[in-house]
Amino acid sequence: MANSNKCRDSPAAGFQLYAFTPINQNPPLAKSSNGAFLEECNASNNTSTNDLGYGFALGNPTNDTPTLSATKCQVNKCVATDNDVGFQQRSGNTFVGNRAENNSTANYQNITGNQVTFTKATGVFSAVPNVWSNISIV
Amino acid sequence: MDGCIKVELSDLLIDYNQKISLGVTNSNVVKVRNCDIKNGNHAMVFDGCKNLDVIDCNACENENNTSFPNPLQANAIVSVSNCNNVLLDRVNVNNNVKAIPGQGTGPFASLGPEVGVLLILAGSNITLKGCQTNHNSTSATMRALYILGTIGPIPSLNSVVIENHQSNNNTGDFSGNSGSLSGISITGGPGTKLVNCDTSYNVSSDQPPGEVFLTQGFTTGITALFSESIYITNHSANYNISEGAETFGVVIGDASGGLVIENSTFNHNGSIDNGSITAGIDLSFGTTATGSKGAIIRNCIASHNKANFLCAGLVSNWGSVLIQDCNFSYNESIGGKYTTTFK
Repeated sequence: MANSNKCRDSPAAGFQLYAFTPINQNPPLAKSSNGAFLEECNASNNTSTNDLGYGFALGNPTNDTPTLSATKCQVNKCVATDNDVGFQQRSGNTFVGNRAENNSTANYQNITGNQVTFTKATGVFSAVPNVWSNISIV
Repeated sequence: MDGCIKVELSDLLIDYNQKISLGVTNSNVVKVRNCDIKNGNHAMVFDGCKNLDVIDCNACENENNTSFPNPLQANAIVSVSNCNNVLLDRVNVNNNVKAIPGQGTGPFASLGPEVGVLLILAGSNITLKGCQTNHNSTSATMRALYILGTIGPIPSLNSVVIENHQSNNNTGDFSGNSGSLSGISITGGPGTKLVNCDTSYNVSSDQPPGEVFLTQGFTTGITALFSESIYITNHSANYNISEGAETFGVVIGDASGGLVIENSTFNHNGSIDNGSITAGIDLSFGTTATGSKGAIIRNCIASHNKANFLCAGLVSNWGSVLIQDCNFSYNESIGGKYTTTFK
């Protein structure tokens, strides 16, 4: 019943699509979050002392097997300030068509490793997949 | 009473009876008014009744009764099973439930007997208005309000409406045993509506010491599985807390698509011991490979949730989810005990 999670990440997030490893599942099931649409939402000040805090995390933060993904998600007119990472989709998963646009703001973020993140970014940006464009750095 | 054409009871006062205080089965018109029942076993049992009204009644205290073939009924203070056209209006089912560990069945069998303080088991057209299932405690898996139908393509539970319900301040004091605690638990109840309800301040505590990561004993304001088209509005599920286990404001999963949650708060849910998961809203729960699809979450707040491991305002692995005008901020993971493997 229990998952072995001693070495597991311990992120925090305002919105997380996909998802933690579901409870009582070992191995986790490959259920993905596709087609989520987030509008006029606030995900700020999410913190973690042992990992990163996300405003909007699209993808699987624990890189579980089987791979869990979040595809074709869209984040519009949302605010994600004062998180470690405002918007992020994780590498190693399948990302197709995730978008964050229409004046969403995501300030005070870090760029880490090969993650697609933004530092003090605002404006229109999109990704197909892992290639982001039209980013304004403020 | 069994097989009556009409039953009317009012101003009934029973102070501790070792058997069932009020049992009505297979009757056509049942009206119960202004009754106060303190009972050693079951306060009120209704099975197979039609046109059942229970208004302005109090019921409390319960001990396990093994005479019931269904262990869920055995542990309920008030059970309503296989009834049609039911109204429970201002029915308070409060105080103590103390079950016997290790006698349960169902998805949490290993954790001890299941306790539905107020059990709705199958039936149709069931309305609860202004009821309370508060201040209960147990060493077992407990659902303060347990709505249970059949899991399968043909539901045995239809048209359940819960208005102005409170399931607050329930405690799972496990004393070394793991259990689970829900303010409102729905399994196999498609189309259930929760309107203006409160499932706050439920606490699971006293987990065994030395455990690193417990996957048992989670605490939730609302749990719903195998229940499509649930509608939740104006709900409060705040300050649900567990010690060493998962904690959520609301957990919904396992083929429960078509969900709507709006104008609700899921704040300050957290765990206070090692290795736990916390979320205001968790749509990723599930014990089968059956996923869910289709949710609208609108004008909700899930903030200030905290866990030692994973923490989020919203967790979802559903498809086709619309999240609008929500505030999921100040969620915090306080884990510092383990090596980070962020890749």
